[in-house]
Amino acid sequence: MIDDKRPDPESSELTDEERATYEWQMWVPDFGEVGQQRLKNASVLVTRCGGLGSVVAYELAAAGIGKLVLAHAGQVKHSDLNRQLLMTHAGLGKSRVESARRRLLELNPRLQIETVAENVTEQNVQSLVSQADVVVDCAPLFEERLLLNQEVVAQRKPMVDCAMYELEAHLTTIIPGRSPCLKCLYPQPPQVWRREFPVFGAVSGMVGCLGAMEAIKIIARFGDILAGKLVTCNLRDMTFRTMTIQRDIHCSLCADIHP
Amino acid sequence: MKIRIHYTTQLKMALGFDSEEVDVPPASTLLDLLQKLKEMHPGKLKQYILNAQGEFQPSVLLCVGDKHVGRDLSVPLQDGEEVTLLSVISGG
Repeated sequence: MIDDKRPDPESSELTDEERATYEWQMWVPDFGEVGQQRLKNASVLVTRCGGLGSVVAYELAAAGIGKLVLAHAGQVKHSDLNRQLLMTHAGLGKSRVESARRRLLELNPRLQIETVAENVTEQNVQSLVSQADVVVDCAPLFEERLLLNQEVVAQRKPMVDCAMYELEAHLTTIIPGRSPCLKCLYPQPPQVWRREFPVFGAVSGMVGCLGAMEAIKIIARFGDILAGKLVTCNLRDMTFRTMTIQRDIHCSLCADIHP
Repeated sequence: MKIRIHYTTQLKMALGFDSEEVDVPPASTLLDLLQKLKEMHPGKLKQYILNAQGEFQPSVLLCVGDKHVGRDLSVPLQDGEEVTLLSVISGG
């Protein structure tokens, strides 16, 4: 269970429309109306909204998250369309985040969306992370991932880390001060990495759904989250494993904040 | 003693297979195993698991059984143990 004794912030009650919309998930034990209110009053930063981030954002919008902050530069390309499910053929050549906004509001018109047509950089990371209660890292560049990691540790915010390759996926959750951070796992980007790599949309969609569920559990404070654990999935043979992961007691970023 | 090695993602693609069994002497450590793998696959694995100084590349996560062992290569191995080399991946 998630050990979070903080009082809930001032929250707005659910409307009748929201109760009707989220009825099926409010039947989930340990979630209920309180969990739904927590989602309504929460914000999540999703960086970028590609194969992983599209599905994370879509599932969070469907679940009734109050606010999404979406950071992603560039325009929709043909090669996005096998997996970036918030992008459409009609949106080719247009802004990715605006395409994402349009699709998300079709699903959930109550959703607040802040779009930033930029990827994570040293200049914007502090501001982006400060707008969210939870971060979901879906970025393709390890430099972006390590930058986000540095900022969530500084701001003590949870981060769900989703990754994919070919038919494989990794998922973990970073709770600063309680779990290893990304820098504990890999202090620098790998020396060999291709920015473009083989993957199916069904793989990114699967791990995007898992990442969204982690974010929902963190916000609504139920279930067991992946702090200190890494799930690996291989859809070639449908093998799912949960590894325990160690923090680096000498980590230059988070060693000092652990009790 | 026999150790089952699992390779994931980029390592699997580089080698062309995802698993193999390796014979190592009794009382071998993880470091001994990595040295053996380096000799067995000099070209294909080297760029992923070693840095320019020939040291083990920290962006490959090492797990013995289902436990990540961090940077401790002195971990002793047991006969029949499974070791996984996870090369880190990202999004897109």
